[in-house]
Amino acid sequence: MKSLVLTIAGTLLALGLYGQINAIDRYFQQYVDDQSFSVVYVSPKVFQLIENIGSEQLELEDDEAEAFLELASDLRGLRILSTDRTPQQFFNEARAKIDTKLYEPLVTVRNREGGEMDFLLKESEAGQIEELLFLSYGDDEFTLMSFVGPLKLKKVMNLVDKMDNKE
Amino acid sequence: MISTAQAKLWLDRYFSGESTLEEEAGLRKYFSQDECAEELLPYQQLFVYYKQAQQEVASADFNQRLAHPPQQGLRIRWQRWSIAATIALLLGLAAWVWQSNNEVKPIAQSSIDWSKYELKDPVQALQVAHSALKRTSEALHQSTKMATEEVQQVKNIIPNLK
Repeated sequence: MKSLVLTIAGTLLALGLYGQINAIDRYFQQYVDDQSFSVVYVSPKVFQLIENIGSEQLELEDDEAEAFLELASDLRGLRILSTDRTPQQFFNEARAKIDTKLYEPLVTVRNREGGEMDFLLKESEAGQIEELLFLSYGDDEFTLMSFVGPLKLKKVMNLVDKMDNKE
Repeated sequence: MISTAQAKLWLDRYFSGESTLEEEAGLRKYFSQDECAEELLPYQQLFVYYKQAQQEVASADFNQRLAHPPQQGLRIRWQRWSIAATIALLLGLAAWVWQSNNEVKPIAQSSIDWSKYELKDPVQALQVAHSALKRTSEALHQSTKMATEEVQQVKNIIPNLK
């Protein structure tokens, strides 16, 4: 009986940590099934292995590797969908599908030359980021990325700062 | 006992509003008997009812109830509350139905088999993650830079803006 309770508790904990429903599961299942979309998934296991994989293997400079390591160790999953078919149409459709009561728009940028970028955040009740959603389209491609995990925006921005320092 | 012909005549006078009290009493008596002309049977019920109605008396506590009527205000108030509660319930139900029809219904659990799309090579997976994060980081920088520039432009137009 005791082991059964522990098993259930363990399963719930695992589901809570890794089974978090992301925006792609919520709204974009048909894109995953669509053959014109490229789909990439990086599982939580990979992010746990990051410390065992040196920056040399990743071909990163020390500063950038440190910033990436710090950021990636918070990640619990990465999903990427992209297509070169009717990018603007997919962007608008995707934008309309997302429930903004659940995903708070962070920044929206429309380029004068064409194209648009959108950042949306899903926060926990405690105000911690649970998922960062990045949508963009240009002339060539529509991309949708979902980063799941307790991310910090400062760390995300820090990655480019470190790259700038390098350059 | 009056004849059927006489009853017909008095009936005509009765419905014309010209009958006397004696004639009305005669009609009641005629219709209270068991035998009645077939053509006059439809009127029998009417006069029997009048007779029965005349025999009805008030209940013993009629005067008391008249002096102390039930609390009408309380009853009306209770009725108003029940109407308001019914309306609120119906509005709530309508709002719930409307919301459930309109809200985006996200799925509760993932039905996508992500293992099909998983990058198995950790180095390749981390390179993809790095590339994705780098692009996101650059986009965030670009967004904040553009937003800052826009704010600066507004400040140039309105110098007193803090």
